Amino acid sequence: MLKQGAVLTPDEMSELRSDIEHMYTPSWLTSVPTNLGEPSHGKLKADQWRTVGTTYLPVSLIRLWGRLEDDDQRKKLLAATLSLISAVIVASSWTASQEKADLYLHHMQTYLNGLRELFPQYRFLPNQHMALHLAEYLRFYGPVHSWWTFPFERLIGMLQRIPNNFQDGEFHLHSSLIIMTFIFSRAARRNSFYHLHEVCQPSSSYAKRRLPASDQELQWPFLQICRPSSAQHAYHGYCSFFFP
Amino acid sequence: MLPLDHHFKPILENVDPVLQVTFFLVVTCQVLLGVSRRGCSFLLQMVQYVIHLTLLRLGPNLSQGDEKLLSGIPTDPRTTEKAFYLEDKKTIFAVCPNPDCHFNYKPTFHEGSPIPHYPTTCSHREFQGSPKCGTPLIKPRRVNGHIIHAPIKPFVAFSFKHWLGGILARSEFEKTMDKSWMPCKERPAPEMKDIFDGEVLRNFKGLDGQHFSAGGEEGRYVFSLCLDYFNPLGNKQAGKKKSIGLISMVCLNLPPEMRYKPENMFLFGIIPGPNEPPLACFNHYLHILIEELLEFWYSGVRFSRTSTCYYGRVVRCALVCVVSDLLAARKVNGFAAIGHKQMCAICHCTRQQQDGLNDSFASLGERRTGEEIRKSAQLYLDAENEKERKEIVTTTGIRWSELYRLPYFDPSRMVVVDCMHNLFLGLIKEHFEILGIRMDNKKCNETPALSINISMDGMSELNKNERKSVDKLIETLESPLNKELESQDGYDMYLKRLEKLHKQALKLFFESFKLKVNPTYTPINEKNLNKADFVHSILTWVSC
Repeated sequence: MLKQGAVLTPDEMSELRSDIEHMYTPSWLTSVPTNLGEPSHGKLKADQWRTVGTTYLPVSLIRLWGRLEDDDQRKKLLAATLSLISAVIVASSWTASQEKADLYLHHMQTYLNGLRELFPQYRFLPNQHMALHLAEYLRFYGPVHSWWTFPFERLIGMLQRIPNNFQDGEFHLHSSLIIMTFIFSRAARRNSFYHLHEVCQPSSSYAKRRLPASDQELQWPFLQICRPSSAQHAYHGYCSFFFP
Repeated sequence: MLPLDHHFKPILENVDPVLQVTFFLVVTCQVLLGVSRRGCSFLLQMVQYVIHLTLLRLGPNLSQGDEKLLSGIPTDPRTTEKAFYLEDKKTIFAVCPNPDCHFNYKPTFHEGSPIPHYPTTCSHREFQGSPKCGTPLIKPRRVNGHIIHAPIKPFVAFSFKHWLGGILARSEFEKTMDKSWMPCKERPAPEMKDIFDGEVLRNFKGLDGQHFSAGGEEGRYVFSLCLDYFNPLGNKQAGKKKSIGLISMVCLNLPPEMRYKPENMFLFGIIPGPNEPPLACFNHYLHILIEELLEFWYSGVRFSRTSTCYYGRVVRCALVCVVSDLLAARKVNGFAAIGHKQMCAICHCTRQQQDGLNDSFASLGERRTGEEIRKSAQLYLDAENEKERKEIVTTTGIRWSELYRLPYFDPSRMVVVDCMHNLFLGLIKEHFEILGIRMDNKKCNETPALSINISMDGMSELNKNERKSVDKLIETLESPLNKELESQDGYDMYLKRLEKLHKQALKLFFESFKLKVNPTYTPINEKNLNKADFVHSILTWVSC
């Protein structure tokens, strides 16, 4: 009988960790701490959970448990794990369809039933129930990237990084100042870079003046801090003004 | 009609390019590089000085034009901000500081004065006939020798109309947004690539009963709303816990690669901290936004000029989905909390007694409908006192939410289950816990080196804090510490740690195991032992 919360032995854990360390992955794949499971690495991000769940875990578990007898509990748990991973992969795909929604629901139900059989004492969480409803939303709204919270979390990250020196007590003040700074910076990005060519309108009477040749090698350090596309845009704006 | 002409005015028209570049330099430093206002005014003065010195090379006397150029450089960076039209339209509301109220008040202005006025105390009544809240709203502040009454807890709300106007003023944006409805007009493709292929938007009806996109010359746009609470002090496990909320909206008509860029997202406001507003109090903040959305739905808003329509255009907007994690979704949509029996707002699955095999969470229940949820919410709203409300929530699991005022909003379909929180941070994380890969420090329980039992009789004489001390003592002693105690440093560390515990707890432990006083650390007073004596003997007992 497997005990919930204590399935992997220390040896199996170290196998999983060594797999994380030794697997060759593309550079765009989110990296995962190699000492997974130790408190020292702190909380994992959502994307790290996705990577560790859909990439490393199946590889290691199949290697460790794939050759066990069919009636072994661990083999059954492996099957359940793989249904969960399949469900996650289907749900986070870049396209959606009726078939994919059905497939997702099927995998998710297999997973929950598997859990119920293996751990009769297990208390299901509200999240696991809501996961069953996710299938409907795949049909309602299409692929998840239009309605997940990743972009909003990124916005929060930006807000958290805005420097401030306010005391802890003044949170309401803090929040209103954060938002002002943020809106201000966003508007500035929008206006200053997208309308830069308008700033330097060739129609102005000064446009006829030419700059000396040595100034043509002027470096614009501020162009490096904005995104490449808008930087180019801004740069052309400036160049067409100064060097018509 | 909303005037948008300022978006089309060129910035710093007919101004000397030297000034243009100077203004740009300072604005970039201030906004993107985070230079303070003080730093910027220093920068401005230095630029002025550099130009002055350069001009002096041409001769000792400056021409009139050059004098004018030098005087055109401002000393205050706020002047440069203004030149770039960076201010978005906003209103500062006064929020009631009472943590159970959160009602907010719009400022009023006396004729020709920029100073906002707020009511002195909160006059909100939760129920008809119940007493007023009465919490003070404002505090005096001295500005330039005058006393101004500023809100104690301000909430900055940005205007959705003005933001949308800004988006529509940008070249190409409007065209791209109008084009996005194409997939809805074609036959359904088997593969859905974006939200417009989904069922909800394909069947989304406008006010006139036609498909929402069929507005002729009018602009028809759809939005998603997101609410998320976060800790402004960072996400450290051991750090302070404060919570402020972020309400933002995204225009779904923009293609996915554009819609989530921070400059294209609408940030409605940040709910002030330090804690989340309880239960239905969040509605007071949402109210401001819903008022604007209702106007966009019923009459539409006329913009005086957009990038494609020189003579203006009517725009109608709708909110089609609410994206947030499970906990925030409960609050924003008025559903009962997560521990409630009827926690699921999508189906009628009630949490039954803890029976692993029949757990209703592992299967789908009967589907709820939007009308049914609205009816229950109306019941909640009509309730006359707190007790009645509680009963209604217990039976239906639904509270009131301002979102229900939007006539097209279907709470049973438009509140999505967030994939990121639900699958990645929820199910995958939980599965790792089931497998036994623990991330949480506290849950890690190593095998105890020895087990200690203390009789209940002794425990019952202690008070609450002293009992905690006993638990802590046992926890420390049960972990394997033999090796650490061998060195003097390790011994001193544990000595210090245990000396912090209550004396009564140590005494109980000492007596229940019939320990003897350690001969190497002879007590000063044999009859009246102090804390250090107890700790020494306990540590000696453990290490042998």
